[in-house]
Amino acid sequence: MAILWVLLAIFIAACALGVVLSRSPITSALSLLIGFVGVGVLYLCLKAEFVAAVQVLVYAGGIMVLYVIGVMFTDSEALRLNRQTHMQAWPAFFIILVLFAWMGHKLYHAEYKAVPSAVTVAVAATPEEEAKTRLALEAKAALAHDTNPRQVSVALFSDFLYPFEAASVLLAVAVLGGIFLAKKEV
Amino acid sequence: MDFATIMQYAGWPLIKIVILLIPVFTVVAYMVWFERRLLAFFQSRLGPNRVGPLGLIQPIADGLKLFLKEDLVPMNSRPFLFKIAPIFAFFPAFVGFAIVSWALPWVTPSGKVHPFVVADVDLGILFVLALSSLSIFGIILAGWSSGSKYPLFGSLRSASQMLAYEVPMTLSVVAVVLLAGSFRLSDIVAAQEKLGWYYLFPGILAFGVYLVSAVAESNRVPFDLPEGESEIIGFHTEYSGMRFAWYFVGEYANVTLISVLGTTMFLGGYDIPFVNDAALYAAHPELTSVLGVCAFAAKAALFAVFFIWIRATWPRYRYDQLLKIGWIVLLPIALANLVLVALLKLWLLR
Repeated sequence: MAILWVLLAIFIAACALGVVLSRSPITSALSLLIGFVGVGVLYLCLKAEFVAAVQVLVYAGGIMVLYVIGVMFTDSEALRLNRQTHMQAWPAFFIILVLFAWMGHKLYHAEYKAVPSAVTVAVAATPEEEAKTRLALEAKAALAHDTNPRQVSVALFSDFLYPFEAASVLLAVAVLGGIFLAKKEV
Repeated sequence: MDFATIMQYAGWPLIKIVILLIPVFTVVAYMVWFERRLLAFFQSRLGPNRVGPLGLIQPIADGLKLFLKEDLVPMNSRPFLFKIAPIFAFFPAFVGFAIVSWALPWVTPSGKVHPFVVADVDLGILFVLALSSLSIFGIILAGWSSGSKYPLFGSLRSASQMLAYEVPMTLSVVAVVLLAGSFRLSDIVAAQEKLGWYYLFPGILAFGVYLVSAVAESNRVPFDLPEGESEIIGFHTEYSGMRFAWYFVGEYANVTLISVLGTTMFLGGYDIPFVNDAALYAAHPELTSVLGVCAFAAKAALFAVFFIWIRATWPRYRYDQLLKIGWIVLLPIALANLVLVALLKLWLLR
C-alpha cells in the first residue's frame, strides 16, 4: 500500500508539473485532468470511495470540461507567441517555502489519536480499560460495516453542517457574481 | 501468496470480466444489425439480409472491413491526442457493466455464494455516473485534435449538449437512490421487490427525465447533433477506419448500458414479474437465477427497442430547442420531482 501511495504521489506531482510547465494550454488541461483522476485513486486507497467518485464526477467530469471548452475558445497561437515572464517566480518560491515549512511543522507536532485494535485489547491493563477499548472497537466495526456514502452523509449533516452550508453560501455568491459579470445590461 | 489468494483477488474477477464481456460485446455488435433491420422494417425495406442467414454475419463483416481500412491521421492534427481520443469514448461505457448485478446470487451446495456481478460496490450507480462524465472527453478531444474547424464546432456543440443533459439525468438517478436508500444496484432491486412495485410508478417523472436525457447522453436521434450524419458535420469528420468505429462501438455500448441501468432502476432489474421471487428462490435457487437473467435481458431489450423506435419516428431537434429542453424543461422537472419523491418517501413509503 505504501509503495502504491508513493507511486501515486509521484504520478500526481508529475501531472501537476505538467500543468505548470507545458506551453500548450490543452496539454496543461489534460495533465490537470489526469492529475484529478490520480487524486481520485488516492482517495480510493484511503477507502473514501464516495469522495473518490465525487472527485471524478465533479472535478474531472464537470469542471475540467468547462476548462477545456474555455481553452478551446482562447487563441492558442497568441498564447504561444506571447513571451512568458518569470517576475513572480522568486517571491512565489519564498511564499511556498514558508507555507511548506509551516505545514511540515504542524504535521510533525500533530498528535494522532491511537486507533484501538485487537492488540490494545489484549494488553489493556485494567478490566475497565479493556471494556472501554472493546466498546470503541465495536463502534468502529459498526461504522466500518456501514456503507461509505452513508458515513459521508451522516458526517455532512451532523458534525459538519455549518461548514457545509457556509460553503454553499460561498458558491451561491460566486454564481451571482458570474451572472453579474456575464450580463449585458445591469 | 498462495494460489487461493491469487484466485480470490485476480483470478475470479478476471474470469467474471471475461464471462461478462463476451455477451456484452456480442450484444453491442448485434445491436447494430438489429437496429438496421428494425429501421428497415419501419421503412418498408428489408435491411441487411445477404451475409449469412437473416444477415446475421453482417456485424462481423462490417467489423472486418473497418479493421482493414487505412487509419488516416490528418497533417494538422495532434497525433497523440487524435489517436487516444476514441478510447475515452468507449472505455467508460464498457467499465460501467462491472457494477451491474444480473441475478440473485448462486449458492453452491457447499455454501459458497457466487453473486452475478463483477464488483457489487457501495457506490454502484455513482460509479457509472462518474465514469460516464469522462466519456465527454472522447468527443472534445476528437474535435480539438483533428486540427480542422468543423470537428471543433461539432465537439463544442456536443460538449454543451452532454453537460446540459448530465444534470437532469443525475437528478433522476438521485430520485431512485432516495427511494431505495442505496446506491448499490442489487439493493435498488431488493428495495423494489420489498415494495412490491417497480419504481416506474412512484418515480414516473424521474423515469421520463431519465429516458429523455439518456437518449441525449448517448447522442441518438432526436438529439444526434454531435454526429448530424445527414446535414451538419460532426466531431468525427476526420476519423476513418477502426478509430471511427470505436465511437459507434461506444455509442451502442452506452445504449446497452443505459438500457440495463434503466431496467435496474425503474423496471425491477432481475425481478421476475408476477412471481414471488423470494419464495421461488428458497425452493429453486438456480432456476430463479437463470430466469432472473432472462427477465433482465427481456426488460432491457424493451428499452433498446424503444431507442430504435424513436430513431425511426422522430426528426432531429434544432440546436436551440435541444438546449432549451435540457435546461428549461428537464432540469426544473427533475428538481421538482426530487422534492416530490422526498415527500413521498417521508410520508408513504417508509
